[in-house]
Amino acid sequence: MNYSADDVQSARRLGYPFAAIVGMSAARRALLLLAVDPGLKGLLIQGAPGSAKSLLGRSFRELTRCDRSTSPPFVELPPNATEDQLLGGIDLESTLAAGESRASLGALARADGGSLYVDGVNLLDAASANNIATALEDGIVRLEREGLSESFSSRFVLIGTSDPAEGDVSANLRDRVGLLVELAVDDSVAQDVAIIERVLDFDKDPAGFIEAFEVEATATRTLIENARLRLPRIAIGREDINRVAQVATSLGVEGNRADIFSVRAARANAALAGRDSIADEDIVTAIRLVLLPRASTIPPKPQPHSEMQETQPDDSPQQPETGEPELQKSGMAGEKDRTPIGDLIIEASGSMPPNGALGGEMS
Amino acid sequence: MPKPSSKTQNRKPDKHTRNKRNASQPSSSRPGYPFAAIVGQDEMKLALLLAVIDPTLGGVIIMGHRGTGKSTAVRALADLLPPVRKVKGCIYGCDPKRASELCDDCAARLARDGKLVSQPASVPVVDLPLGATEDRVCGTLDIERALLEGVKAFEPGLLARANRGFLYIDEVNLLDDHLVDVLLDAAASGLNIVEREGISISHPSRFVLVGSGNPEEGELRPQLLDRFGLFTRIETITDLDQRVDIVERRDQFERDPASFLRRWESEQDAVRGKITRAKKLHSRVSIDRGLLIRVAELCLKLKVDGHRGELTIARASRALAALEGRASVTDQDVKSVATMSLRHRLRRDPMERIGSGARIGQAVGELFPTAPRAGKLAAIR
Repeated sequence: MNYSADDVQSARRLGYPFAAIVGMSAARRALLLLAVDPGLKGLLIQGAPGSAKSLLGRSFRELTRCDRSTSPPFVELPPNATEDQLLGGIDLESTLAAGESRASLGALARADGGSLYVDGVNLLDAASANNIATALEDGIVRLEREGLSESFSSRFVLIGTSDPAEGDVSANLRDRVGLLVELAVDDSVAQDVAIIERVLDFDKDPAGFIEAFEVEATATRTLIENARLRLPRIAIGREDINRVAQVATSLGVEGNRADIFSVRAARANAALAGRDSIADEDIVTAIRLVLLPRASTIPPKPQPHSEMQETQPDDSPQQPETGEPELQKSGMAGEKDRTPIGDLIIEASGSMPPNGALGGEMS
Repeated sequence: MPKPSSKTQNRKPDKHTRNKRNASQPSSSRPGYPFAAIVGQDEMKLALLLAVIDPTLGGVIIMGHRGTGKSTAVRALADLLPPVRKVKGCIYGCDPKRASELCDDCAARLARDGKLVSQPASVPVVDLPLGATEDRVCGTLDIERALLEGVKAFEPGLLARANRGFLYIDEVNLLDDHLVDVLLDAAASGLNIVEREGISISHPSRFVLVGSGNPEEGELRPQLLDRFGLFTRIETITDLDQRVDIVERRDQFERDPASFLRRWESEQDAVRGKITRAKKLHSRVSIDRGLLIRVAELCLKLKVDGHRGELTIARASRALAALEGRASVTDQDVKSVATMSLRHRLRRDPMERIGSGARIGQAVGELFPTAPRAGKLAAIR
């Protein structure tokens, strides 16, 4: 098939299609949730070099595209960006030409209505990380610089990737973003080969590649569209919120934002599944993508000397071992006839292999 | 200047926007979350209300866990503050009743006309964003007028806008050192003195400083810390019911802000009424000499340097009495405010970081043994 130069250009611009991504179910799920509810504010993907994290992060552009050639703003920010580039500043050239102060928009304002992508989000300096965190929270950039006093709308989702070997992501940023995923480098050679083949195919013929995945891409877009429409209808009761809060408490999660994000994630997950109410699997997904990565304590796990033993099933998978190895007296008590939250946590930490939330070994 | 390196296409052509210059910039078009609907965190809410009732208290700093509603609470203050009268046309919003605190323009006008025309205006709550540059904080030469009209005019900054209001710094421990210096100067003198780019001017800048941050992000300079009247710590709520309330209310607010605000309007009104009454009553609240002596003993016992400790407790407890509609300060008032007044004034002992609150609590218990702690912080409920 032949494509016009325009086709090729727009295909390159949209980038590698989401539908062509192999494996990485947790991260793909996270991107879908984010596409359904931008109120989740963002996704941080952690992984070793070569874990395809950038491919994944950038595929969000294609996932949220409007048509064959356009997408909402997708602004790539280099981690060493200056404060001007991020916040905006005075545009000297045009100020002098016009004889009145003119601002040039920074990345935060340009990402309004779309997404901000940072490859190496852990390499941002503290000031940049905090400026992004503030904009995420306020949906607005306040520019008080160089004689300019303005504010710009800045509602965007942040997609960041990081290699843990190069340092941690700013704690403030992690706090303001809903979804956190850690990628494991995949051992399966077959999957590795599949990824490489596909990327090569895309590079060779981007327009044809996108065309080949068009049917799947259309199905995914319809799924997202429908989920967005359904989202406002989904009721979440006190009981569900209570379970989320219990899990958050037992994992020692800081602050209340994670609780709020969890509820959003559960709701978006239900919307994707075409349900109008929250099911266990929605809560499990929320725990998996929002709460577990923020755990500061390990919830009670089945150990011979544990007092909590009776609340845990004997054949449960091993819990991840990172973090403070501190057993916590649970908020596990008091659940009704629902699935005990201990089970939900265990299911969440074992689900969607092979991506360990806390970097631990997963069954 | 460097071009943004993004490869974004199909951007709207209006890459440049006209710089709107207006002194009272709207901070956000989105309605804020109502103060009355904030769950728990009583100490923080009380401290903020006390600072509203008595602006001379020296402001509030809120340090603690992320995601616990610090900035939500501070920003929610704006909607509670009763309007004040300001001199018409004054960019600093001078108080026509306080001749000694007028800016040069207003003072000249008063001398010339013998009176000042005033109008009601809202109290500003000004955000000082971390990326702000010094010229925008202090004010500077108005470049536009300099270029177009050839005049040397002053372009007021955030310190002008914050006059008679609140200046809020989120992540206060990350603020650049040179901005901290500027703030300290203004906070100490109530004046912003600008000597830069050919401009030589000073104008009133009396504001209540409110800061918040997470201690993990960095230390706060002791000089700045000392400027804050009250220091409150905030932690993640562990009470399940409260946590569920938080999520539920936030969810309702985000889904339908208008009806959420309507539902909370009467509660908001109740808080507003309380503040208005307390501000009226405040000047008449008396504090017993005997009680003051015990406050001084408390500070002595805790080895608090200087007199700011006693003064803060006295002021905060008067504000609390006013908030509760009483004309005299009780032991309970002192007990309720002692920790937040002294927490940041104890000599630093590197070996015990969390101990300051407990140390104060113990000393207070010894010196103020009366009345069981019933109805603690009832004022804000």
